[in-house]
Amino acid sequence: MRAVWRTFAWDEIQSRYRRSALGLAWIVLSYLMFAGGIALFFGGLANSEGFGYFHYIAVGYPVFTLLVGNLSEGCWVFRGASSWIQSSSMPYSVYVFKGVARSAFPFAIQITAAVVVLLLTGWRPTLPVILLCVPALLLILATAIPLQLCLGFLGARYRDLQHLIASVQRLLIFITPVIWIYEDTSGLRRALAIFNPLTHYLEVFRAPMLGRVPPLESMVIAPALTVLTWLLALFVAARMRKNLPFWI
Amino acid sequence: MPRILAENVSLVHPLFVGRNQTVEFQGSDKFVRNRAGRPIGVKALRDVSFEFSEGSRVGLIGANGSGKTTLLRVLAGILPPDEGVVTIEGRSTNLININLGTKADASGHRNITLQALASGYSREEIESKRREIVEFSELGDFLELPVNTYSAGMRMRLSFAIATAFEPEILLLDEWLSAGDIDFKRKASKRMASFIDRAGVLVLASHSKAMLEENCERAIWLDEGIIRADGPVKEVFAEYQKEKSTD
Repeated sequence: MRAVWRTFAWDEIQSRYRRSALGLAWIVLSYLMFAGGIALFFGGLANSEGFGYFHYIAVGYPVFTLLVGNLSEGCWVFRGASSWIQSSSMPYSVYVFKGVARSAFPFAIQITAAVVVLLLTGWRPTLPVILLCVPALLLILATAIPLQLCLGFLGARYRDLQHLIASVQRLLIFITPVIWIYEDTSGLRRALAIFNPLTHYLEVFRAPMLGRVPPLESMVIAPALTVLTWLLALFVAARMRKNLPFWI
Repeated sequence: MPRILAENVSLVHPLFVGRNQTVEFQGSDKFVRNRAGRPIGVKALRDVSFEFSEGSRVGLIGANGSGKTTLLRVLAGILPPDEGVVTIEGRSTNLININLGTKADASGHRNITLQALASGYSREEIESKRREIVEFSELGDFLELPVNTYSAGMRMRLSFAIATAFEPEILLLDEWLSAGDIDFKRKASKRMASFIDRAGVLVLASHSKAMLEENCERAIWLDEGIIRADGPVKEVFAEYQKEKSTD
């Protein structure tokens, strides 16, 4: 079964960049353009010295893209595979794993690019990086699976969901502390960020990467949300799996 | 030994009729309705029972919308029945809709890999059968091109070649086989005959009398999801045609 979703995911990744001259290099290019551009334009607003703000963006943005990708592509997990679901008796989990792999692939490339760029600009890995980043990443992936499963079913049944997510998605870059610095803010912005689940997943990875300990609330809220997502996914799957072939 | 057993299988096909849709769904008890009388489902299969044992060659006949494709999808394990039990013993392959289960922007060769993986075969099995699939499909260099450059007939050749190459024990075919040219039909019939010789189970939905009589010995006539007749193909088809002509 692993061979199946891997092959399908790889095929989809390839077909996304097929016939473009630069191919997969676009993943790195568009990432560097964004991180560099933002650091250039907003660097003056953040009160940090040297490459500090650039590092903040360079690490945060790939994680943010991964998190948002799970939301926007989650709706398509089953709808995008309708021709297979209606002709093959493969377990539905294959499509979920494929979806997660498809979202994680650009992230893997971008975070590798980030590490290279960071090393070139004076960043050095410290002990917390290894100790905290790996479990944080596993936590994010362990959330992506039930999240995409859930959204896959709900998106197949309720066609409004994809429009809702697309609308919210545009705001997320502002509500989530990607461009602005979480610890520097207070008041409404901070309150919004605390209510935004993305903040906590972002923090548990980004903070240790930048040599800090993540805020305590994030270390509690993120795993708790993961457990909740799993429970919700099991509930949704139990209720909806039978009707899925009719919805897509 | 391959075998299919269906016991009192019923299935409702859910409908999504808008709240403000004003179409009247008249008469017939084939709709499942909610309290307001709005149809929420079609009874696609009603209390269907049969047994296909090794070497069974069964044709499914019936008007459009009589439940043939739904039945094939249940037998393929794609749709779980609402009531009743379906027991399937043996490796099964289905060709239910020609456009399903293909990735149009990937090459023919890539589709061989993807479709066979989706049917549960390993990479080694796929590579050992690739040459045979290439030869049977007669697509040659076209296999290097994306499937969306193929004609309907070419797609069908490819799908049929993939589905039958792995010597499935159960083969479920919907009526689209008629899209092929004469050469291909002959070739497909020959392959189905060799499949039957290996004592597999063949289920073929078709409107073509010639196709059914050539490939099947038994036929099941479905009418609004109910089995109207089950018996030798010639008798059942004659009965079906008689009713159609008196309509």
